[in-house]
Amino acid sequence: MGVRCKPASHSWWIDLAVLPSNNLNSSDTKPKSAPVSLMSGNSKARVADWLFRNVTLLFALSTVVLIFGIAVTLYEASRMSISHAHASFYSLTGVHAGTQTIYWDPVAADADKLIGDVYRAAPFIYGTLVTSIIALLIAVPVGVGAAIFLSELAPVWLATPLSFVIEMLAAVPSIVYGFWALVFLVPRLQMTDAAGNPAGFESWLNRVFGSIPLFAKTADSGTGMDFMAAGLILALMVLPFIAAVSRDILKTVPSTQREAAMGLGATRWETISGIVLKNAGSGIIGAVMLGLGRAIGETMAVTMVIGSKYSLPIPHDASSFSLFRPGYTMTSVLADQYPNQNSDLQRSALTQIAFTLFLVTMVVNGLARLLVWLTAMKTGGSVTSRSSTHIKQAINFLLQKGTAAAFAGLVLFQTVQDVHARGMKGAFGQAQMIGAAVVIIWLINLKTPGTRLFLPWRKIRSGVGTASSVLCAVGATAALLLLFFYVFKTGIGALNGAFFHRPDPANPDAGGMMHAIAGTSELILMACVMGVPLGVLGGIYLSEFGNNRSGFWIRYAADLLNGVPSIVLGIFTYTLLIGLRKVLHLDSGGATFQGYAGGFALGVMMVPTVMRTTEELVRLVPQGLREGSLALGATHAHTVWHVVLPTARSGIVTGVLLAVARVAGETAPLLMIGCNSQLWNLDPRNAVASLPVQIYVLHDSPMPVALHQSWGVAVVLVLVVLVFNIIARVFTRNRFAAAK
Amino acid sequence: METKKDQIVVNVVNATNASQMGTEISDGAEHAPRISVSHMNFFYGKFQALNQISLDVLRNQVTALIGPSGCGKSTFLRSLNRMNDTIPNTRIEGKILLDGEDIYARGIDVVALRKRVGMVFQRPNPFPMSIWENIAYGPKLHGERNKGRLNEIVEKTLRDAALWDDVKDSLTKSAYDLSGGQQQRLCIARVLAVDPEVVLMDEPCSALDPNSTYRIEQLMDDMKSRYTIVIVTHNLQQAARVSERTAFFLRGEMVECSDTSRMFAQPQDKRTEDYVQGRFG
Amino acid sequence: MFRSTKTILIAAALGCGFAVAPTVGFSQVRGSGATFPAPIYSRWFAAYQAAAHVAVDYQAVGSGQGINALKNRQVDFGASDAPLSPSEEASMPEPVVHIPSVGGAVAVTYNLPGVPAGLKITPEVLAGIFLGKVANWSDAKIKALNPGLRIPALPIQPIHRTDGSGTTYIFTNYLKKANGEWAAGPGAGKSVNWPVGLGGKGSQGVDAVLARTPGAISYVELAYAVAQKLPYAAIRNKAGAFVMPSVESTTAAINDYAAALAKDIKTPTVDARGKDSYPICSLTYILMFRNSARPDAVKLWNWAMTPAAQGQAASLYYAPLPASLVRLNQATLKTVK
Repeated sequence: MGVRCKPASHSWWIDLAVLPSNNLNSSDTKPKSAPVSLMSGNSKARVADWLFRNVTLLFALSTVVLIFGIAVTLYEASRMSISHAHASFYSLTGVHAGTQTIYWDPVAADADKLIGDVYRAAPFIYGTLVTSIIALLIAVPVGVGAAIFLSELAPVWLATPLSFVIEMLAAVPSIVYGFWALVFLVPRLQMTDAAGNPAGFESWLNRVFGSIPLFAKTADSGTGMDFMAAGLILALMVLPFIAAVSRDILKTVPSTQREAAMGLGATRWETISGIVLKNAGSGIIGAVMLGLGRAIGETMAVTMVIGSKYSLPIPHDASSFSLFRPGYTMTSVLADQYPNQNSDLQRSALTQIAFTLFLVTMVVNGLARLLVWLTAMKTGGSVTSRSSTHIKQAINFLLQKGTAAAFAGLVLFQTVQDVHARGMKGAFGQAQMIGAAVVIIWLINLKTPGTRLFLPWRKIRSGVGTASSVLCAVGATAALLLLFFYVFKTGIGALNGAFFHRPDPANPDAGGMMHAIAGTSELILMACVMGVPLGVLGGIYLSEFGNNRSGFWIRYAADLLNGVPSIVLGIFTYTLLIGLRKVLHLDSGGATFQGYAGGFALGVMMVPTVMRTTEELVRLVPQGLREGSLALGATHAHTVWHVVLPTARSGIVTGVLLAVARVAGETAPLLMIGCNSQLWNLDPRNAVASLPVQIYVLHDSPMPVALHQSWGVAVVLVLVVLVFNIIARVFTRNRFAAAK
Repeated sequence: METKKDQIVVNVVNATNASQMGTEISDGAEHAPRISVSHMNFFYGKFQALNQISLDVLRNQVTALIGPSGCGKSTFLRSLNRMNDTIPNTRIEGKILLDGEDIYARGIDVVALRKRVGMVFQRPNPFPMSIWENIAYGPKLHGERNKGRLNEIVEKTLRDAALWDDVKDSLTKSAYDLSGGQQQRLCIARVLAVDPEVVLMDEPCSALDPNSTYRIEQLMDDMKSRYTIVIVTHNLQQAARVSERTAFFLRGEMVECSDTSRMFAQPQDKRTEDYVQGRFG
Repeated sequence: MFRSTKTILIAAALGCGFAVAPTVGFSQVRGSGATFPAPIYSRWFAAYQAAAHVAVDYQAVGSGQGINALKNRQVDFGASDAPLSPSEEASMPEPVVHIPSVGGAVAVTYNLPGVPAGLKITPEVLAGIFLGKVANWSDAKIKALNPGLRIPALPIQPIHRTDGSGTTYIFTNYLKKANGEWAAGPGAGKSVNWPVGLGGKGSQGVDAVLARTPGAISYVELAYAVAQKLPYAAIRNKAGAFVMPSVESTTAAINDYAAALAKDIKTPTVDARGKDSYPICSLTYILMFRNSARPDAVKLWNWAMTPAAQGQAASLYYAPLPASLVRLNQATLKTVK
């Protein structure tokens, strides 16, 4: 928590007697003129500052405008579906047809077909919920554990490269995750292999914990494409976010807190778990909610491995709660069906799902703020009212005792079933061993005072704690290295000379991906043209003038915008594009403007990131610098433009580079807009090719050579994203090195 | 300059009474020194921060470490409870004995050491918990579970720290609600709660106003009958006020160590004289 | 902020340069739609580029998106495996012509250890399998159809495509025509509500799941099944004969409907009458606006009707159009402005 440069809330444009700037350059030989009267005022300065404040305000308001725009556009496009289905869209019961319960039937009813056009979102909401919970259950402990290792335990020569590696995990585009999961993860998960024999992790889980309904085998288990696979790949994707953000938060805990705890005789682990985490608590909650938002909005990776089946658990059938069933999430049904709808009604229903997703994002965001507000106890006068204390205790209790009780209950249930099935021998199966191990580790946390063994016990506990956090960091790194090696091994062969040529329409199998590389560069450029000015100027407004109500709402809107899933942004942009073309009568052949639309969608994604980064960095510029400039008689605008921004420049560039790295890998919005091209086309008035979309399209192609090429493109994309991230880090390090 | 010297003499005279009492106790009981440091060198990487320090800290006394910025007194203080272990790339040579035991020997339990040798820091650093929980943190660490005993400890240490009357009705409030001086006294109470033998204080009043400083110096006076105190201070007057013995550090060396009254009135070394007379600092 | 505002202006100018510079792209013919005929279209467009030096940018993104793209005037022609439904046609801003380009077959592929070829299936059994009524390969009905085969007693695992696709439309349209229960239930569409079965994304995805699941059965384009060397079944057609999908059987099916097609070009060619006809066949259509088509596009599809182009279809397991259809198309194309 560094010192924040809070600009005073009073207005900056006091009537200073501003000497016009050219006077500062006047030579000494000029005779001394009469002193400028204090009351002369300087309308030019006032106008400049007024313009500065309001122009930056306008740019900052873009986030609010965008949020409203998205909400309104999606709602309008959902109207057809809303009037068709009314509240039944969200009902938990489907339409009964014989033995089947139908939740989603996109084919219209007709003379033969009795029931049609059924649109109920329950299976998708369930799928999103389940996969996100699985992802968080895995990613939060491992991520926080890795963060603890990186910030508290690792020596510097290890911590820096490892942090970098884990941040690279966050940078890998989701479509690459998806394909890797499909070819690497799923075969190792699947319940049965091609010959029908048990294989993979799921069959082990089923054998050991099968009595627990979550791990039961059902008729459609077996391929490995199910909630479990989707949850696991989501966990891997959310893990680096939680780890990176938690690490940054842990680093801001002042060392005096640690020293105080250690000075009182706490062991390493006691210091970390008791004091450091407590200091960082609200920040880590924020990181977890960020991870949750990402899990909810993730599209491509989940779509690959979730199995795409409308399934909802049936209350009286325990095994229907199994995680080994294929399912659907809100994002994956959009990815599957939005590009190819049967009818306008289906499209409207899908848009309604996108709108629901948007609302869910808002709710999660609001929840996150509430939780952070509740758990923060930083400054004096913080929330210590009785009700909030009760809530905090309740949350703590639920988390610690609740999860322990749930786990104990499950193992107990499994034990009972095992004993039932195999007599007392069944009581020593793998499930019981695992349960015993977890109980022992938990017991290690139990405090046994008053004995001579107590201090060594605390030491053991400290050792176990630190070892487990090392494991978390190692696990995260191993996962990334596995992914990298696999992608490179599979794809590097496709990167021959022909690859880096333009595609040849007369010979489409010859390779040639330059159109994708050039297209991605162009889309990024367009995204920057939109995202950088809006983000930087908006960020300047927030840091210079933003400590008021409008600043609050702008920040809130920026946070919301950051959390909106990219597929929803894509659907929004597509709907907007169609509407605009109709309204502006631009739809008479000729240009489709899909290139511009793609750049717009990516730009929208960049705005909140760049805005927040700019705000943070400009705030960090020392007040002394500003005061020095103002004391010389410069206007506020002049100070910001010529003094503050150059100081913050490298950090802002870092923020932009990181935002670029993120949008470079985005597939879903471009797919929704339909911005893909097989030919060399750089004219944004039509569709352009791009690397992530090429990966997707090539993978879907029935030609065998296309699959190999798609991995080659994946290698290029990963390299591009890596390079951007490395440049961004180098920039930051140079800044710090110079500062020293 | 003149006024300053007079002022110091006045302070020393005031302090002499206090220090005499301390000297009596130590002479009378013939106790071995609580901490004994011999030929200690300390290195940050290649840089030698402390050179051949030898010093005895006597029981139930306040020993003050004075010297200009960067002379190594904080480093020395932190070596006494091995807080320097948390800084990477440091090395120590020599012996530091606590009640005859070398605290840097192999197999020494740092956790147990820090229970016996507590530390108060320059800036108050209460934990982000309530006042009660701050105090109870230490005893809970070392195994105290009984709520009744914890309440007793909280009350006793807060009384000792002269904070009880201020906070007895708001023990569940956040520690950050207290003023700076109160927070520092809270930190002192927190250290006392683990029942140490030695209390190390690293410029405890430098961030506080004179009123709070006064109260803490009062506190130190009360504490020394039960604890041994080592205080690092920039403030010569404070050293004169509170301590029985003073050690003067300069550029990593301990130039002189003697009874406070003698150090200020008749320093042996010219450098000491220059420093206490304010010719450099 | 930077050394000078000049830098920003130069950067912006470069960016705009991209936008205004005319590129090769503008003389492209743009199309999008069906994945079903993607292999033959790919070959045709390559040949057309070599012959006429006009590049064709075809996105095989699916029939639905192709129809949308045409509706939104984002392409010069759309490609769809299904003709436009009345509601779809009504929602088009202008009248649309349908030009069938090739015929193709949907093969029913399976993964049965010990049965490398020769499986025979009837439409009742097929519908029963995908409805979940016929659940095991040891079912009497299947045994009765295949007396000579040693079929393992595995549970049947139907696999469908999860992305909305024209192949699904052709397959479900056949099931709807041939089986009343299917018509009353899931019906025909690019995505339907499958009562049972697993999903795979695209032909690749379906193939991947099929390969991993013994006892699985699915449907893919014939071209794909041949390219991937997948075993496929013979289906009993309306005349009672068991026919394997092939260029000949597809052509036969289309010829069966020649008269009907002359009256209504949108007639589906599934469940054909002839004894040599394969029942799961379809024409795949090119859609253009009658009154505002692009001349280059019209030229392209005229070229596709020539014997040179149609002759390439067979090598990729697509059925070239019968002469009557070619004449029909050429007449239609003449009416397009």
